[in-house]
Amino acid sequence: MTEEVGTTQEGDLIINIGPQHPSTHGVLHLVVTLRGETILKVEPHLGYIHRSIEKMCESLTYRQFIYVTSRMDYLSAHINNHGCALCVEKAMQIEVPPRAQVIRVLMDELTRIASHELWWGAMSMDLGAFTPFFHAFRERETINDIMEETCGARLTMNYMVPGGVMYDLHPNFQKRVKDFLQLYKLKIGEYDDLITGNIIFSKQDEAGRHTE
Amino acid sequence: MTNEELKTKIIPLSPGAAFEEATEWLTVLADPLNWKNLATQLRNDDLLKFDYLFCLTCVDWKSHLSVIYHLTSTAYRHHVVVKAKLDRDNPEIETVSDIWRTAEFHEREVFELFGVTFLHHPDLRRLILPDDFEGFPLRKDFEDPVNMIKL
Repeated sequence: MTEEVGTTQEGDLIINIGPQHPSTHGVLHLVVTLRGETILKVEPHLGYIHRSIEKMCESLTYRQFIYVTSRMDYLSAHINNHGCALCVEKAMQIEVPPRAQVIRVLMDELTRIASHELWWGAMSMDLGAFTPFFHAFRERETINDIMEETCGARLTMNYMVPGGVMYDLHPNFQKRVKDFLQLYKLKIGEYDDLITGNIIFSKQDEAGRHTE
Repeated sequence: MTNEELKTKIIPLSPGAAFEEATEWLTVLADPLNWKNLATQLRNDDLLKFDYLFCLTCVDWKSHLSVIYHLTSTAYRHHVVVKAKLDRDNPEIETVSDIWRTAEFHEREVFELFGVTFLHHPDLRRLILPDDFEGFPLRKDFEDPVNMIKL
């Protein structure tokens, strides 16, 4: 099953893509069998991003392991922390105050928007459209600034802990989020214009369909 | 179905099964030798229809290993957790990858990190560890003098 890099008997080429590769967005190791430019067979080798978080957390306390879980899916740190904090709370039957629950959901949803922005920007960039990347990151920066004011960090916000949240919301939070949402409604239309009707994107979309 | 109803439905399928008390989802302590039979019935029974295995892990209680299956039904939205207690020295259990296809990858991971052998698995080999790795990392007695693990 494991292919060795080289040439097969029919003249097909077996090469590695990754693990370090500028377009794989992180470490991904694929061993592909190529005939010309057509990929005949792909064999992924997984595990390069395994950071043995489970083993590390075995020797940390329930308060300390939040800092490790922020980094699991580093685009959406709040959501990871929320999930892990919920797990501990359910096991120990701790009740979280209602205000903290609402704050958690607000932060989660903002993080979801930020994460999807990055996905969309990076996907468009992979397809060759470099402009949407900057638009996406401009919105993501706005969200990161809001987070920075309340949580103190822009990427790995260790804000949600077993029992509630670390600090109360900053007084500016409400106004900034409302302003952001007003802005965002306009931006969604802009994104649509950039990509969806674009002739290059739709041609590439057709070309990438599985020929079967 | 509520936990009580699930319990009454599952007891005849797996005679001698114990249940854990006071858990959010019904937890069945199954016998590893009868697991394949119970799994098939959990999937195919009309009122149970557990068609989604959403988690398959293993826990190392220092005296034994325990393989844990989290099942849910997309039709009825009820959940059940099945725990199978395995001997530490020779942990073996039947595979369920022919019942729930997602188990193929999860069982490979448990195989390489804990050392549990899944009988009749279609392709039991290492998933994330390099080929020359020795030992079972997630067991509690795993020591690695080169890379510090205990913080």
